[in-house]
Amino acid sequence: MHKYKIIFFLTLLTCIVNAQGLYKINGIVVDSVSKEALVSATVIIEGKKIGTITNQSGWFAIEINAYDNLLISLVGYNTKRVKGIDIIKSEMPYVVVLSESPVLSKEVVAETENRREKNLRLLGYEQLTANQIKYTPSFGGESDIMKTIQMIPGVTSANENSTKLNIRGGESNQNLILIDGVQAYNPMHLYDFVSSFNTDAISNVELFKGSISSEYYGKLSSVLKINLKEGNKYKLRWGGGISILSSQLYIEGPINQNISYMFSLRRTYLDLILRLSNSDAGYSFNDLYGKVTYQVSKKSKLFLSGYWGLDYATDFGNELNYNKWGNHVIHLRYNYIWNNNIFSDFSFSYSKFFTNFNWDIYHKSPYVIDYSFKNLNDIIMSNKNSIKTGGDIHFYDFKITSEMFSRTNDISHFINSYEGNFFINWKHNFSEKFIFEMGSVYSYFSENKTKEKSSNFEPRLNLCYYLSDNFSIKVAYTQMHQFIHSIAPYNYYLPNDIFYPSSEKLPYMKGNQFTIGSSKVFNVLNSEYDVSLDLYYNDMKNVPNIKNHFDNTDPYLLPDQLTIGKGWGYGLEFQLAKKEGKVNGWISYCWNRAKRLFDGINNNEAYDPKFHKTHQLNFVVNYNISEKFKLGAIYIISSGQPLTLPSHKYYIDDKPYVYYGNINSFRLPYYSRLDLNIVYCFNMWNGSWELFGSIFNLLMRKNPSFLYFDISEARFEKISLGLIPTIGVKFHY
Amino acid sequence: MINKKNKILLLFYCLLFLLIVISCNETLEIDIPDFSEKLVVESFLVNTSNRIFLKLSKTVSPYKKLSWYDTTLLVHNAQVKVKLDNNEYNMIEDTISSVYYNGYIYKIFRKTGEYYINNVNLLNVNKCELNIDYKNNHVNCIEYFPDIVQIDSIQTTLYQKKLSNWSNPINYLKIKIFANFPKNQKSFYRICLVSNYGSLDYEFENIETDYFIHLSNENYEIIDLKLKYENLEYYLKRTRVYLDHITENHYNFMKAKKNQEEDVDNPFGSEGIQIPTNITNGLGIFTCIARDTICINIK
Repeated sequence: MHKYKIIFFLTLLTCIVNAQGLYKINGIVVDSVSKEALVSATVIIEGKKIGTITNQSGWFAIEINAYDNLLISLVGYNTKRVKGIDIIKSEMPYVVVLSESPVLSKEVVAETENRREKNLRLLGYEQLTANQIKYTPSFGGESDIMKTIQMIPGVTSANENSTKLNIRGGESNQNLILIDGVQAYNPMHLYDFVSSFNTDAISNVELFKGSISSEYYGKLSSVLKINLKEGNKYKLRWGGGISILSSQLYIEGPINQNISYMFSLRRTYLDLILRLSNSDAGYSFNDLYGKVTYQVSKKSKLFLSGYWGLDYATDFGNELNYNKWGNHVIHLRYNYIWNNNIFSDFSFSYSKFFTNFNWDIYHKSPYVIDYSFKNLNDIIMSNKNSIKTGGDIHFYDFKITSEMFSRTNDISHFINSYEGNFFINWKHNFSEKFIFEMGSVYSYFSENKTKEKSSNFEPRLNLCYYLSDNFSIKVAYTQMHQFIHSIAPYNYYLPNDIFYPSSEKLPYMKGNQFTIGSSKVFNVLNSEYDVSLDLYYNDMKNVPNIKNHFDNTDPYLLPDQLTIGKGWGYGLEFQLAKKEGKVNGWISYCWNRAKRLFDGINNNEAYDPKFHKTHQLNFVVNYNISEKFKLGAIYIISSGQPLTLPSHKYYIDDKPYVYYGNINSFRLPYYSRLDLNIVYCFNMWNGSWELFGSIFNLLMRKNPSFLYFDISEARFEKISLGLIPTIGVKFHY
Repeated sequence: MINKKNKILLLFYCLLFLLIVISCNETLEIDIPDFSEKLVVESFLVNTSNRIFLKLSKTVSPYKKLSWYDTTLLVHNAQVKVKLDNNEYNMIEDTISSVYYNGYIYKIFRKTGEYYINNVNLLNVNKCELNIDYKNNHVNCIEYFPDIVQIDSIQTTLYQKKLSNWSNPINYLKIKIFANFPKNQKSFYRICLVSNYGSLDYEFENIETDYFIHLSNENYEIIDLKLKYENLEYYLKRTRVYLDHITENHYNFMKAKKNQEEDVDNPFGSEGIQIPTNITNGLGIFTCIARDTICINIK
């Protein structure tokens, strides 16, 4: 009897729900050509102020009425309108196919006045597609994600040639860099000149620099997600390119209707050039990306992806001397759509960064290995309420050695550590105008050597208020922690960052970030523009820094070689962007302050960090002149970098030394640079080809790339890169 | 006639040449900040010595070109006082020096900026205090002698390594030194290998020096030294090993000094390595060394 009552009650409930006309649907948004899932596409109910964003597997879930229309859009793609009734009648998950918008079409006009989808994103969020990156001019003709990201307001670097990112006053080793969800440690080549990210392998890049969702944790400053391509599911495609710096090849395609693959290989030939020029030293780098995707069923997918990168420096005079370093990443991921409400993702990963140093009698081979298991769940309860929850477990294996040219007997310090994290994130639409998002992360860390245990609880908060459909104000508070320290001895451009787990002597870092911002979307002359203004303040504590007498001859003593301090920063960021159309790009301006304070450094006074530039104005323009010609330009103008001036010279044992004044108290002249890129597209041998020419520093301004004080000559010497032209060719079949 | 392949190579070399030519090295003009000189002290007190020696100089603007033998930096007629426990001494400026020029040694009478005290017993001294007054500058420092760490024995292994098939072999010496290192604490050391080849009248020549930290509870340390000389039989006839127990200030000073030497003129280097000092209102180092010595015969 009770059983029948329950069945009756549930049926009644269903009727009530259906009587209101609400249906729960879920779907996946994919690209029309490759059938790859599209991340962060916006799904809006037309005419209503209700929407959502696809997750990292392109999945979304929403409640609709039968008479609703869904608008699905993404930058670079035509907006698609789908009738609700068609979705309701179809099998779940419903597949929405978006096609790329032809860049030379008439300016795209919003089909409705409702540009609310632009505002669904978190504060400080940026997304760049591979197409946006590949035509942006950069050093050596190599399109580089990191160099393009440095054009975003709030992002800078310590040196014009460096690919490291300093975001909103944070250190470069405080950014969480994820390749398909797996953390990569030190993913740079060529002494930080070139990043490890091959644009042929990449689908899109997401940057979270302000409010960061609870599903991301572990680093203090920002999150950079590199999403790899899944491989074309319809047909075989291959191609490559040659430039002065490197050459690359890629291949992608289907194995059968359920399995697709993507492989991309890049190699530089600097070693061949250096050998031909009779240089004493040689250098080369390689990287290989791969991904295999298996559509197990309509509701589940299995991915196997990996990255293998290697840098190799050698001494031509003595082949026994070499230094190699690199990253290995392997990731196995499985996702499953349980029903219209729940999506789950499970993954196992392995990530290793290693150095193998063999020079003369010195042999050092430090590494860090990260084994992890992660689970992520999207639970869409209704259009008003959704929850993300999950967690991960990490097992770290550290081998820390003495300095490269120190004691020949390799004193190594082996440490194992464990980390467990659990997060929950709740998003609630109080009303059409007010969205509230709250989350928290609980983390636990244990270091085996000293038996040190740490736990941390960090809250996250995001509030969004719509003043109108296309104008919103957002406030965010993010608290972050970092258990794994990355210590760079003397800021050398060498890959000898020391990864060290937190312990009693080296406590874990904690940071807070407050952001308030507004964004507006408007139309001018049939073109759509996004304008945003953000104010932020952040602080961090327990930041390690090396003492001046840093001497890592014994890694057991490393924590004693460090001093602990704090940092803080605040600033204002403005951006005006036009993301689509024949002419697209953005103008960004950032005003900021950043400080560091450490015991025993700079007479215990706060100082500006090396990367700090008070003003930064960037222009990025892409102009699609015609089917055959594309033009890209960037112009940067910023405050000069700070510099530490020597204040005294003296002699000890008849050798000259300098005594430095306050750290970074002097400012170099302002920095400015104009880069240009022109691409000529043509067909040849049944394939599409691109011939590109790039000019770095077209105005030939002698910005200081490297600066050092020559004691004997008693002056600063500056090395500047002048005008650097590059040519290259790319082909696609 | 240039064929297609050579044209491409030619273009490539042109671009490379262009890159090398148009990236340039030039001086950076800066406004030189105001400068006021500081006193620089170099003094290492060794417990086995009966002499205290101190070199006093002054700083100069880093933007002034000078050579190492420029004597204008030396400080003369300063009031230099050293207090060893309860005994105070005035140091005397050395006024005899010699100059090597054109193959001849010339003895000249001039003030040297080097101050000394003879006939002092440093073996049982604990505390050393330095005070210097010169014009309007006053600098001072207090240091303590570390405990003597006695050497029990030394094992040495001499080996050679060739860096390449065509280079001469380089000599390395692995030293395993057994001593009564303090337990459960971090202590700092300098190891010196000196030779008095030939007659005992000859001065000792330093073959190699290294610094290390002892942290473990073991009673030994292993140090690898790369020897700068090839003719070892000549240098290693009579070899002394000095185990100097030094202060943390001394160790940090020497390490930072070495780091700055390696970092300077390096365009890839850091923003500037500061050499720490234990001299109040001054620069340099005033430190105490507790030494133990052992003679060995390295074969």
